[in-house]
Amino acid sequence: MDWQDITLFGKKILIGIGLALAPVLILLGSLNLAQRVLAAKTHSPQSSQQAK
Amino acid sequence: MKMEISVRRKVARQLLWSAGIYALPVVLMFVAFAVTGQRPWTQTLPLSTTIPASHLQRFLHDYWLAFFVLALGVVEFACGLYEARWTRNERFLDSASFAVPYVITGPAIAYFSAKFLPLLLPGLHNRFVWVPFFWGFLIICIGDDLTQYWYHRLHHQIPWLWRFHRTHHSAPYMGMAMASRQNVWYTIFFSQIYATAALVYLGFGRSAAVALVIKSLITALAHSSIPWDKPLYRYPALHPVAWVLERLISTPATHHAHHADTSEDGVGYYKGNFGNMLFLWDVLFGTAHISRQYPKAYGITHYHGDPWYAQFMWPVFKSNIEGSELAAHGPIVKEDIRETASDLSVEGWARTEA
Repeated sequence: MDWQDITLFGKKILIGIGLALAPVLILLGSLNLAQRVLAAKTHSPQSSQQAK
Repeated sequence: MKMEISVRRKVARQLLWSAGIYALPVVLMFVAFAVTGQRPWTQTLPLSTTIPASHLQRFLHDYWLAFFVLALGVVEFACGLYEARWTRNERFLDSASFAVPYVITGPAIAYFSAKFLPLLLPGLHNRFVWVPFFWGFLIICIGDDLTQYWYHRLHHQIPWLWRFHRTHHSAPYMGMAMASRQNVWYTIFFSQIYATAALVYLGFGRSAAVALVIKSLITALAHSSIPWDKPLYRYPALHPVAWVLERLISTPATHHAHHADTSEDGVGYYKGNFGNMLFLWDVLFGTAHISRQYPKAYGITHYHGDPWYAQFMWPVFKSNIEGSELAAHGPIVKEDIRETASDLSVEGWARTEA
């Protein structure tokens, strides 16, 4: 193993991390966002009724 | 050697589309909730559905795939499907590759899940356990398999990544042994297993258990030399089934084409057919080739049997075969002797036998 091989390993691991992180972050973000939007939609008619 | 600009642009554009595809099942699920008025996250769900099992049941549950692959491998061997090409060197390499997922990758993932995920995703353990099974299954299938598609495709299209994947293509035969035959670093840094481990941590465990069993079966059978899909092409009544199946999942015909030693005969297509469980990704991204035929020869035309330890551990160990891509000062990508340079420049492909 020489320095070039170590650089190669580093680049490979970085690509691997990017590929693994992307779907997790996208799914986590979209699940959280969609849940909040629907939850807010559910609560808003109730809160307007309470205000009356 | 660098990726051609046209290929780089295409990959970048399709990676962006993939971001949308990852989010698609979540969007569809919430549209369904909005229409039906369901709010499953407001309900309290049992976190575990574990059924008490005996030691034997647990052992079979953990190692059923190994037994399945071994049994089919024995059938293939008994039928003479490996013929005389399964040399001592190839047997050593296939056996070491088969053992790695059980000896190294499994414990590594368990350690990653137990020690690192609570630090990376604090307070999110089982956060989405309320997601109904069907939607969880869809999320895992897309999340896991699309990630593997890109991991695999990039190892073919980025020249300097190719040598980490070369081992999977060097064998001049196809069979169960091929499914796990990989360079050890390719296996250890498989992106989708870490992504899926994170999704399991987030609460998709039940869906992942089923999805990964189905994926393992499809992938193992696509590498197998048992052509289970041939009857679908032979009988006209089954053609509609074949049409759907060969576009949806990897079949032996489409995946064998990916392992062919040439793309010039209209059957083999090592320049595409990257899908593992789902072939749909190849259809969507224009990397599919469906011929319903099996290649005449497999492997790499310039392969001269690099030592098993070099193929398994490169770049830690190097090949002693002069001119090999795995040799100390070997080429990053060696041109296939059956391909022409002009064909390569037009296609923009980094590797001829990929």
